[in-house]
Amino acid sequence: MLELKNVNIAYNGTPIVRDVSLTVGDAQIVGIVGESGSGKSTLIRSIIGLLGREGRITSGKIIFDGEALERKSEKELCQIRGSQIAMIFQQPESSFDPIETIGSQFCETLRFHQKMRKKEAWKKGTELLAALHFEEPERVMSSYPFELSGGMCQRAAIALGMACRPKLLLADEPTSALDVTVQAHTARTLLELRESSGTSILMVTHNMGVIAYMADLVGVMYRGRIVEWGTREDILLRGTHEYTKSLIRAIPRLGGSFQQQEPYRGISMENGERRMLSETHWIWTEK
Amino acid sequence: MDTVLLKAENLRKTFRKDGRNIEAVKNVSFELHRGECLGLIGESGSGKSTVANLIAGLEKAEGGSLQMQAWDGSGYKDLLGKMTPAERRAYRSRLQMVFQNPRLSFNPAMTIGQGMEEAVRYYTKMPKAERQAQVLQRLEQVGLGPEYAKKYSSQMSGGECQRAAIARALMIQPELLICDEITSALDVSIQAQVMGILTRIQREMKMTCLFISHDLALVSTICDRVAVMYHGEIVEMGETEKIIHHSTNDYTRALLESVFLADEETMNRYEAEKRSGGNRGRL
Repeated sequence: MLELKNVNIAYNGTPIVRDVSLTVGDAQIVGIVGESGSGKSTLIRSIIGLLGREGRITSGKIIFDGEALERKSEKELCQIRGSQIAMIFQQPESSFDPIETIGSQFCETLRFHQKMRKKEAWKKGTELLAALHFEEPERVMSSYPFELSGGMCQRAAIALGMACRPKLLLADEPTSALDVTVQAHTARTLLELRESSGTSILMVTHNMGVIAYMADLVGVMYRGRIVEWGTREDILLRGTHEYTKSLIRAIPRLGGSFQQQEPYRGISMENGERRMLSETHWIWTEK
Repeated sequence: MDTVLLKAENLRKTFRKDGRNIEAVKNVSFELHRGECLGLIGESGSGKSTVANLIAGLEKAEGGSLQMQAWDGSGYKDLLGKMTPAERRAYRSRLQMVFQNPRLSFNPAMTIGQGMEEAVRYYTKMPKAERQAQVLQRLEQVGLGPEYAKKYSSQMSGGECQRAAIARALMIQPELLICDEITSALDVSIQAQVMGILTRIQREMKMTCLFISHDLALVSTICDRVAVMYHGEIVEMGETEKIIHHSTNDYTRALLESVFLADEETMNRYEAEKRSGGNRGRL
């Protein structure tokens, strides 16, 4: 459904994403993990052309439903964003305009993409919120974003993202700004969505626990490159790349304790190659 | 000498917001024993940071008492009661705090070394040469070389900056170290590094520590005991092991269940939740 082929991205000429290839299948959830600065957010933003003025896809292909997205104009991307591909962000409020009610933003989206009438759009928005287990969807519709708690705001953003039943949802750290209790609820909401509407999700996070709960496939990113790829079991139980191992060691465990350890400081290999460890599992390694 | 360093009894604090009174902390009581690390967990707004600020004197409590053992163990003094400025300073110098945002902990116009010396200059009359030697020694303790004394906070990564903040807190050899969400702004691998350093220092120096975080798994890696806060109250307190495995409180259990560990149980969890009707709406 979504395929990235040898994608390279640079900001002002500095390479940020190097030679990334991956595919996301129908109704699949793919997680990308890695530390800040590894290029994971840049990677998913590039898919719908949100790199800003300085970022540029220098080479590679981004194919969505048979079409090359990297060649689309801003106007064409506008038609795709929100209708076929939606995105949610780490800060839930950043999905909304602060001076419009949640309801009027549902209306805007539905009227733009689906030419719905206002009344119809409002009704649809209320239904979407109800489907995500909001107890008072009407009240949420007439609230401003800042009147909602972080968790509610993020779930409302998910509902808005899902308004036009997109085939793909891009999620940039969707639960990282939320409390643990709310985080569990939000992650569950995303899983339910995948089940009810068959949406594929490409998600970026640094939280391995969220990966364990949600992802089918996982890519580990380090310095702009995917250094290991596999099913969540491959990565979490049989992680092989030194960086993946150090990430897993760094996860706090109930009742565990931290020995003093240095974070992984490997070099990013230019001339490596993929070594297949199994049908689903590969690492980037020296030639 | 009594092993209790600090006794908090019925601490209360109310904030006014949008014309309403919000009871951030209601009747919180606990004891901190010398050399132990007590964890304070709870979701945002549960009052855990307010408790820290009350102890550090950054907020004024409305009620209750905060008894701190005298330097020589000869008795207790209520930090909330009447004190001479000299006394207040003396007691104040026995505790230090590390905050969530490492960069805000340092004056951006001062080098890290100057920032670290300031703490000592304020509380003691240590000669300059000794102060500077102390800076290097403390930096080394957190794994930073002497060159960091000359850097500015803007030239350091978040993890380095937080380690420097810990080093600064150690400058006056506090008896109590309060850590308020000190790794929340850090990446998971940097978090592990900082926690490794803090764990070693806490054990080596047998430092009394109040460790605040919303992450139960993280708290369990360093704390001997844990107190769980909910809506301004401590709803459960006990040995870490007991809280994790034998909690009797509904909120604690819900908090435990909402932690995603990177293990096989979490991988199978969604299917299990669907079979059992799910955990939705309990919180």
